[in-house]
Amino acid sequence: MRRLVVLASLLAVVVAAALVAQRRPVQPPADPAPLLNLIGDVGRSAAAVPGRAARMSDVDEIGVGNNLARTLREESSPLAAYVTRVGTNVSGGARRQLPYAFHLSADPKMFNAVALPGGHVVVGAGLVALMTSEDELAAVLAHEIEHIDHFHCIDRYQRGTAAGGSPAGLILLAPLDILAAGYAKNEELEADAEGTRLAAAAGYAPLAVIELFEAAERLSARRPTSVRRAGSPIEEALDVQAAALDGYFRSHPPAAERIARIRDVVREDRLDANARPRPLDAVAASAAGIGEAR
Amino acid sequence: MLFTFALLLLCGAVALVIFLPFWMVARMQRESWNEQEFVRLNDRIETLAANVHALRRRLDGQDVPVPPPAAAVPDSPLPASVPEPLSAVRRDSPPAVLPATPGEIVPPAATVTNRPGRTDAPPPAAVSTLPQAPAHDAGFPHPGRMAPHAPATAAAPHHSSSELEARLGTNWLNKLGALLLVVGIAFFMTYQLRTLGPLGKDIVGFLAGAALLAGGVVAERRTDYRMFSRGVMAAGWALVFFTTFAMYHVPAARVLDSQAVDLALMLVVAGGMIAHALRYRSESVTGLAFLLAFATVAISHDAAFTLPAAAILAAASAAIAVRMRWFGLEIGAIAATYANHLLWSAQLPASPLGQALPHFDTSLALVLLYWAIFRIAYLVRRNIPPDGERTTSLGAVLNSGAVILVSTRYLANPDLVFTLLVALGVAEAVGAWLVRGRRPAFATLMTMGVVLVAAAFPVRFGPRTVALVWFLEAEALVVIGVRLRDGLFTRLGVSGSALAGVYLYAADVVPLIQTRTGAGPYAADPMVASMLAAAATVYYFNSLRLLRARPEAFPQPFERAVADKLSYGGLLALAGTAWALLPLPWLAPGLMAIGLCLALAARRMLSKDVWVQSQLTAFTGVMLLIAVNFQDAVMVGPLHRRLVVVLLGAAAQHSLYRVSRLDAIEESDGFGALHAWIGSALLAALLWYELEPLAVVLAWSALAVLALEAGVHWNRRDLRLQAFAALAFAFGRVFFVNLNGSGGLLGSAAVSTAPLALVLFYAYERIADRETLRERPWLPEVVAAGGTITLAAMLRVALSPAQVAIGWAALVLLMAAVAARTGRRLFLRQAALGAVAVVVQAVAVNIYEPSYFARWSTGPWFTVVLSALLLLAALPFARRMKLAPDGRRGFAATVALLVSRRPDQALFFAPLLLLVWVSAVYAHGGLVTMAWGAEAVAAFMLALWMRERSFRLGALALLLACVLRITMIDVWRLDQQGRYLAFITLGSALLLVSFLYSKYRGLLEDYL
Repeated sequence: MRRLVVLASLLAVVVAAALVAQRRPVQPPADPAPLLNLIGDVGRSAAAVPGRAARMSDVDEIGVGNNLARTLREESSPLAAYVTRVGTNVSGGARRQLPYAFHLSADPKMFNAVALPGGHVVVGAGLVALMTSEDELAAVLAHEIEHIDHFHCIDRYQRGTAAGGSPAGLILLAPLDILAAGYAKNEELEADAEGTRLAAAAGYAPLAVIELFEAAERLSARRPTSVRRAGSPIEEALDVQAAALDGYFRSHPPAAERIARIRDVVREDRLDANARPRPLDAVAASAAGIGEAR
Repeated sequence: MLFTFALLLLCGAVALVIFLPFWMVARMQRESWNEQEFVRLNDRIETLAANVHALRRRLDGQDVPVPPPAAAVPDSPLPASVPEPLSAVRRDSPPAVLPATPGEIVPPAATVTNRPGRTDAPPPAAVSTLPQAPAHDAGFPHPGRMAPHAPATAAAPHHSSSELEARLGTNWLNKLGALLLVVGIAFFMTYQLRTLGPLGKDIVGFLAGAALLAGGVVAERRTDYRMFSRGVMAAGWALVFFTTFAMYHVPAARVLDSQAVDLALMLVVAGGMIAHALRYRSESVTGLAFLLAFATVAISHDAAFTLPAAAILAAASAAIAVRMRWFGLEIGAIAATYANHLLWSAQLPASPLGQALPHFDTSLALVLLYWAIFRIAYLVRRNIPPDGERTTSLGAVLNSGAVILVSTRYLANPDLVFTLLVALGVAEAVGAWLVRGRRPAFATLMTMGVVLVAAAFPVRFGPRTVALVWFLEAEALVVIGVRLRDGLFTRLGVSGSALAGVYLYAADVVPLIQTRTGAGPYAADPMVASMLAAAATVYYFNSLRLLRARPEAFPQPFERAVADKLSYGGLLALAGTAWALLPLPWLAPGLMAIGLCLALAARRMLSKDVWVQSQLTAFTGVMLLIAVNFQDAVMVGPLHRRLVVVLLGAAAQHSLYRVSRLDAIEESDGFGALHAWIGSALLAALLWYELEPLAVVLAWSALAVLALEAGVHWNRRDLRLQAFAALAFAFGRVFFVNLNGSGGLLGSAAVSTAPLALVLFYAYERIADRETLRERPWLPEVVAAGGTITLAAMLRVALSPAQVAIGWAALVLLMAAVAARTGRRLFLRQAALGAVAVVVQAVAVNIYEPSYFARWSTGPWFTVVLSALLLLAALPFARRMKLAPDGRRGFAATVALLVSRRPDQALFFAPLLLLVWVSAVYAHGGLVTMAWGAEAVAAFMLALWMRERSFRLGALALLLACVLRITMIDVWRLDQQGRYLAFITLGSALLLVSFLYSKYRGLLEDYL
């Protein structure tokens, strides 16, 4: 009798949970993200102590960053100055006090931003052209600053140099690709969360970057929040495989996941979700044709 | 006309030249074989007789050497010396008794044992049934003058190529020469004798013919020229016949004005020719005579003369064939009679469709008369040897076939055709019944009767129902065969039903396939379905019912095998019935229902064939279900049609589990389990299609619980394995779908994942103590580990990174509590491993990678200390269940010891390590030493309370570390205030520990 009660209770719980799950308006996609995130967590945890012990000093990191930044061509446009101004404003709240420097790549096809060790941040003109508010630019720069602030850039640099750049080193590291993928994704999500907090601390609207994500998704003809349902279980398995082999290895996680994470941060940290984004600097925006890309 | 006549003669000659040598060679070979067989049997008879003689002498006390068997003299057809006893025995033997049927064998032993002790017993009956005459026409009477000459070849053991040469030279060359001579003389009369008038030419022709006849008659008296003389006589008669023909038809020789008179004369000549030929009992000469007679009739256009004459010739040839047993002549006569009629009818003017031709009634009556003549001739003959029976049966078939060919050519009335065919069929059947003593004739006529009746049905019935009628006829034959115990009828019935099935497929099923695969609608076709159902009934009834109830109705092994496998035809027809009747979305459950019914039938009848059919049908249904129904999202009321159909399919598969298992079929157990697996897989796939992605895992979990309960209740291993498979898939899916859901403890990820962990733990509990799983002791451990991993992964997604360590520590506490509550050490081991994971997570995230914007509740101090406290809270549960070391040494043994037998070690040192680590990283200056000192004192007090020496040693080691730090670091780096605070704190701690040691010395000594 007791067992029947337990069984009935268990089935009731399962069925109730199924009903709740069935009524969820947004259904998640089928991809290997959770598994790879867990694997990435394991890798990061395993490397936390030895990585911290072997990490180079800030002075050395600044030297490495400066060497890498020498190849960048300096832009002297009003837009470049505007980027520097916003970046400097945001980087004031960073934990590591490095000589942050912000660069604008004039390539209109660069829809991305990159952080270098030692405090150098590069943002592409194509990405800037997608923006409609200064808060979006601040969020992007804050994201890249947090990559530097949390040692992601220098750790990645040190992992690369540890392999020696030799074929043998690359071969030895090849089996760790999946681990590295999960690792990179964790870093991106961490940079999203901390960047949102950093931008909010600088007075920017924390949810403004969501607009930018959605614009980027529209540009690549992808839907940000809706998920395509596979036609059959086999098709779903193939989708997962394709995501593992292709989509997941992009430099950034899917926009939907990043948006969800930012909303979680805003909710957990009780940030002002209703803050209104401030408009872009008019002079700089008109000089760069900002917003036209949308 | 002359040209026509010459052409006919020439064609006949060419045919003779081409075909008859082959026939001759074949016949000679057969005769040769017969003679060799005769010699062999004769030798055996003599050997047996000698043996009998020797035995008899031995019984009488004499010892006479047994003469060597005749087989020792292979070149001689007869033994060199025939022992007297043999002759005596043969003379005393009863007359030869032919067996009732050709295949019947009278066992020799029976005859011997029926007369025990008889010294004058006749030889075995088998001996007496051997052929007595060695002639090539063995068994034929050879009356008259031909008789002494006929066995000329009997003395020869074999024929050689020289015999063939002799035959060709003396027989066929002479016939061919005679034919060419007649043609030549005919041309000579027509074209060369220009100086003579018609009468002179006719006289010359008659004289030449008479001369040839006279020469032939004279030569025939001498044995050496007998064969030659017949050719000459045939040439003479042919010349006389042609001259008679020329008296009216050849202008150069015309002396008569009336064709009728000329034809009458020709008939007279033909009659005389036939009468004369019969004197010599030569089939070939008589055949030539009849050929000329039929040619006479054929060239006439006068219906009043032609048709009756042909009937007379037919009757005469049939009578002679019966009397003389000239079956080749009979076949020729049949062919000539109907060919003549065909030539006559071809000259008639064509009539519009549906209208009878002129002279229709007369013609039909004559054709039927021909048929009746030859059929009666076929029926009345008796004592026909097997070779002759085959030939005459061929003639019987030719007779009916020719009737159909000639009649249907100008029978435009379908009703009349139907009536004619049915009447002929019935007449053949009646005739067969009349000659049922002659088995070959009975079989031939009955088969033709059946075929004729079957051929009549398409005329009367439409193409969509004729198959049904054929099935009825076939089944009627089968029933008759069973009732009469006659394999012929069952053979005919089975063959007929098979042919009807082929027709049904070609005429009805193929068009329906084309309609459905083309642009046509996919509509049910009840007519085709009903016919297929009838076919299935017939096939299954014959194969399963009749074959089992009346096996004697299928006397031959091959027939039994065919009848046995006929059930597969029934399966095709049955599946076709479902296909024709059901809409495509309902076809799969229909097939599965058929499979279920067949499995029940196989169970009842213990038939492996039916069992195989049930499996084939069921698996076909599954394939169809996968291909068609899973994509079907049409609504039936409030439900998807897919839901209803797949549920039915899954239910059928699960039903097949029990129904498919037969003791008599070894592999049925595996197939039964396979059905259950397929049924569960169908259900799982259906849930995937019907539910949203998040709910699928939960539905699979519920399915697994039900399968597990059923497997435990009914002690079914396959169901239990299905439950574990479902749990494995659900577990895997969590990491690809559900954990992608939203975070938070009430987020979609947590809500849709946590119940799976509960199900896994429930499954563990249900199987943990089952003896049936002892061969897989790892399974419960794996299932429980799956539950714990699911919970840990859920917490990893649901909580923020800073809270994960706390969540996991709480999970460790829960595991330890459950272990203490249930007594299952498994959970304690999981708690120990969980403690290690908490340390790793807390160090990597909370201590080294904290958010720079963290509040106190998410900062490293709060999260790490809280995690440590939760781990420590689990320590009492672990202490309660600790075990003594097992004595093994080594690294692996130590790890196993710590995890399995002493998990309290992990649950003590893990939180201590966390506290020390967070103090080292986040405390400033002398506060590190003070924190470590406080932690050491607390650890020491805890160790005292728990009476655990390793804990005390740990606390002392931490105190020692404090001493080292204060002397190595703090003295040199701290400012004055920090330095004395550190010293004071550490000194106090050391004093306190020392005091405690002193106070509890006795207790400590007890535990050292």
